[in-house]
Amino acid sequence: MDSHATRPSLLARLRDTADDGAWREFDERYRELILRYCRLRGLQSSDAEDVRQNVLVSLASSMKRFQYDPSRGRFHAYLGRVVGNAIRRLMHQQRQHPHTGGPVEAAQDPGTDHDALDELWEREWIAHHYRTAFESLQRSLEPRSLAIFERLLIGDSPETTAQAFQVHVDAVYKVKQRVRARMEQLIAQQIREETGE
Amino acid sequence: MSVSEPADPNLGFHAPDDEWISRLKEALSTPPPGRVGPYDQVEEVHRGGQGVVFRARQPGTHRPVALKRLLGGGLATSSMRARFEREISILASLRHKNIVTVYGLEMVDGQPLLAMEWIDGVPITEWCERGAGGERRSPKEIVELFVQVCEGVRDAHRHGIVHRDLKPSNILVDADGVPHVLDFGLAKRLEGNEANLTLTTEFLGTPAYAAPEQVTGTPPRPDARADVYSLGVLLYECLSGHLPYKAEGSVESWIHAIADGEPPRPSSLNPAVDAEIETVVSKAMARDREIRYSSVDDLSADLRRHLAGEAIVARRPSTWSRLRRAVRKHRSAALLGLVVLGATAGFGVYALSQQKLLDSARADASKQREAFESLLRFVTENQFIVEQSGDLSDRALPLRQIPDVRDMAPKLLADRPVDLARYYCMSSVLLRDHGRGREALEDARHALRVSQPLGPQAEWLRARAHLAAAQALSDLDRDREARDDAAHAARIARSLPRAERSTLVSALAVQATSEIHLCRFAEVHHLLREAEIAVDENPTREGCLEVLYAHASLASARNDDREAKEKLLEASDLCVRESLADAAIAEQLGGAHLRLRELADAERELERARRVREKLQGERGPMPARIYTKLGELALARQDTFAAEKWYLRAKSAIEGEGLSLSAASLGWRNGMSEILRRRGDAAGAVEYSRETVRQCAELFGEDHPAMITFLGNLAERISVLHYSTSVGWTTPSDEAGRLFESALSLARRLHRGDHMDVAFCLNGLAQHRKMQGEHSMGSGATEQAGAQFREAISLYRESDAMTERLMGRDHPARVVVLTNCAHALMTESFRCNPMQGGRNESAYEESKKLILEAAAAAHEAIRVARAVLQPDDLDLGLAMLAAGKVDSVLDRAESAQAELQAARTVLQKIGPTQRVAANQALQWLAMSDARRGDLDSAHRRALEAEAELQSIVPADTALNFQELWLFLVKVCIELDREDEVADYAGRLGLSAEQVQALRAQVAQTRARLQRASSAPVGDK
Repeated sequence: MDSHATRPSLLARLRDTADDGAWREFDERYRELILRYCRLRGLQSSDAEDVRQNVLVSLASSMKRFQYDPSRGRFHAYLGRVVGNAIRRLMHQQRQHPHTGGPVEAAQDPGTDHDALDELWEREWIAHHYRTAFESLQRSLEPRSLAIFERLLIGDSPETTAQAFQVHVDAVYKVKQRVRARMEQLIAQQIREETGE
Repeated sequence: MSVSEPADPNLGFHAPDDEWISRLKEALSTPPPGRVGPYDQVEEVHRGGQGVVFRARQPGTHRPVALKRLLGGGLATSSMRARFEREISILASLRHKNIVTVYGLEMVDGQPLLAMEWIDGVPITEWCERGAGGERRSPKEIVELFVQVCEGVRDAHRHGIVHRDLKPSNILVDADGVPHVLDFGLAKRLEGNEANLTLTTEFLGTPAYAAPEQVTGTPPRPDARADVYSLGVLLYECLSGHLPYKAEGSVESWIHAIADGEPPRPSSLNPAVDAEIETVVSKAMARDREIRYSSVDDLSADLRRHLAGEAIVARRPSTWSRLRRAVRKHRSAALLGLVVLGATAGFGVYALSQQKLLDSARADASKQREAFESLLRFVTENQFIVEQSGDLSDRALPLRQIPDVRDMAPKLLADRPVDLARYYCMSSVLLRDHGRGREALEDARHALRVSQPLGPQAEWLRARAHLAAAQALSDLDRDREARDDAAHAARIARSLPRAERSTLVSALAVQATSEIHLCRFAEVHHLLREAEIAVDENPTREGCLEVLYAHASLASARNDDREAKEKLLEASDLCVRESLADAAIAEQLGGAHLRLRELADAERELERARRVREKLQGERGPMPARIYTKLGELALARQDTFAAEKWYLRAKSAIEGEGLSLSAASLGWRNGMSEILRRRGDAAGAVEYSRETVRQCAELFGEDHPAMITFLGNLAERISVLHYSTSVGWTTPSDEAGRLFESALSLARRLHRGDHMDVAFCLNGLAQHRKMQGEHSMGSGATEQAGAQFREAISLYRESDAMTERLMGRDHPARVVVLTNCAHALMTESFRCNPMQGGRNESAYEESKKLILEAAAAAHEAIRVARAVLQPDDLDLGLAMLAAGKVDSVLDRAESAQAELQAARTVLQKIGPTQRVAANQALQWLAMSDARRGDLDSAHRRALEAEAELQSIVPADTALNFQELWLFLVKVCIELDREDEVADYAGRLGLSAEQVQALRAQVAQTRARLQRASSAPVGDK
């Protein structure tokens, strides 16, 4: 259908650990997701950075062995486990060295409720795809439509927005509809790419 | 909710309309700020290349601060940690408006975190890209900013801190346009360098901006000059928008790129960048740190000088220093150990000390070597001045010292043949720049001799030596030898590494140009193509210029002056103003304009060429002489023989006493003088000059050089003019002239193998000769033979005209002359076919009528072309109108004949003394036209006026000029019954009574015929 269908997925490229470009791409793609997730787990920025780096390192070492297996879940679920483990390890270390003034006490750790953690990860993962998709949309959408949509985003009503831009309210709905369709399409595509489907 | 389920239903697009928008809103919201040490309200900022930066508020002051994580490694022991803290405290002591202030170090979670001033700015490269209106900022703005950057870096250097990792993300420009340099001395400490993830070697940092010694680790201790290099690369990027070297990823590929590549001139990427600032960039970016500015202070000082419009200290890395790099690459051991010149010394100061050193060396032999080395350096360092400076005193200095060096070099460098050969190459280039081609050639030959036994590692030297010789030979117009040396240089250069591409390009360009001059076009396209590829591989301005110039030469040689003009204009845009290249291009451009008869443009370009040439090389030598010759040609095109003579004499004195009495320049002025004398009617003098030109040309270039075509043709034409001017009555045309025309034509056909203006020129000359032969045959009664000769002349003219039209298009000045000549020939042949006496012959009459109508067509086409391309007062237009006037007069188109003859006379009179005879002819024909239309009084008056005028122009004893006029006067006076005058003019012509009687009969006959014709339709004879 499109060129993405034949492109080797990032995942496949990651398996070849010599592909520096793939690692950089991976880091760029998931850096924010991991850091935000850590932050939501109550980690300090610097600790979140550590987690990100540890995730990269452990992925690099395990990726060679990792074979995509649908029964083991999708890649984002796998990544979620790796991130979760990295956070756990960090917290464990810091508990053993309390003199460094660790973050654990301050963190609002949702505890060991794995389902809750999975849900948090799942939500952040989707939010991440929203952000990524919106970023590409911002680059491709014509500035006027983008400006109209941003008004909707901050909560203005279609009517106010139409007035502000001196267009018919139908035009505003049309923009909203177009953004929605494009967002949905982009997110679906991103997820396909993620797993190489 | 299970994570393994298909995600789509969870994405929010199936939910109510607002669901996806609120999800997006949430996704875009800033995450809750974390806490870093004492700082709250921390937010993470990602900046390209800067790694992770936290923006935080300082507790209490709420001052925004930037927090950067440093690598914690290496802080294991307390002494290491103490040293680290000392480093930070030195950084914290730096206070400069162009340096980001460091507040101190925070240890958070056992990790060092550097707190510093928060700058709201953009990386310097981004700032440069986005000036007012979104366009790249001007070089001036960029340089002004850079001076401030240098101030900051210099201040740190003064405190002993070298940055070691200057790159765009480390120089932020704030909203007020003030640059702030950050991360001094932290290259090893900072995390977030891209290097961390990928690098396989020890090197940390961005290879693109790192000095070669930082990347390779040799020499091991990068000093302040590493920052000079990085600043050079940054300035390059800011000005041009590109990094100087292109390489992907690995450190190794960067090392290769820097070692092998010659970065494109910034001006080739951004034409607004001038040569001087390029020179500064290139000195700052020198691969060898010894060649770089020795400090940021010096770099900054040169930038300031540039801004103030003062001369910069840096000189463009000369060919010489490019050679040095090449040598370094090939690990040739014996290099000049040149001492770095104290860069603070100004040029003048240095030159002065140089002079002193030389003076003392003359007295003290032991100081000679020191003086020599220093001088050698001086000359090489300042080659840039020689090439590009307009300041005569700058230029004179190295030249003045050449004699001293020339004496010393062989002795002092006897045991260092590589250096000696290099010296000779350089000296050859320098001498050539000063128009001293013969000495340049000598030194090139010396270089070759010295480098010959040196073995394979000196190949590049031999290539350079051959090239230097080829260039010198080319200047001396010794094209055959130039071609051979250039071919030799190219052959060697092809096997040399890429750093020597410029040698290959130059060699190919010289070879191509020489082949073009020799009319050997077979190889030229191939050579130029190869040169273009070499330029693509290693684009330099010189390379582009050389190739464009060669293309222009090719176009000119092919008579495509429009194409030549285009290439030259392109070259002119590329070249440095007021440089030698500029002069050479202006000269060629002037020549192209001249051939296209764009005289005002020609004058502008030639005058520019002259001004620059004189400024750079003085008024003596073959190069200025060549321009004076062209200016002479221009004056001739304007019919100003006086000015032309002035220029030719100037050309003569420019080469006199320079050992150039036999040279291309001497051919030029001699040929010009010959033309002047011809136009002044001094046929003997014209032949003398012309003959000497041919002799010299044959001696210099050989009998079959393309230049011989013109010179032979000119000589033939002048001999023929002389022949007639010294003869009385119908005389045998000069056999010599005929032979010369024939051999010029056969040479032209042989060399050009097809259409060429040289061929057209020779065809025209030979046609003239045939026409004269025909006239002679007529005079001696061999009318049949005369007919054959006229017909041949007509067909030669037609061939010449058709070729000109094919080559130059319908509207070209050269057609005017040929068409005018052709009209004359047709008219003469028409007269021959239509003898007024004897029995009537209808077919001959028809033929005659056909010919005269063809003559009219040719003459009017000549006028049309002349009006389209020539000035209204051009000689050739005047002559075309004269021809048309004659023909129309014969055709009894009295009105147009009178108008044309009148106009022709006006133009020819305005042109001045050289055309007085032609103007007089117009008057004579006006008189004849009067007679034909029956206005005998006016005819008589005008004929007398013409006679008086002619007497003031030519000596009465050259009776030939008067014969026709007197004969006409006899006829007019018969009709007017002025019997006294009839007797007078008949007496002067030596006519017998019978002959006068015959004329009376003829007059009556003609009168009757004309009266008959006046009632017939116009144009019917």
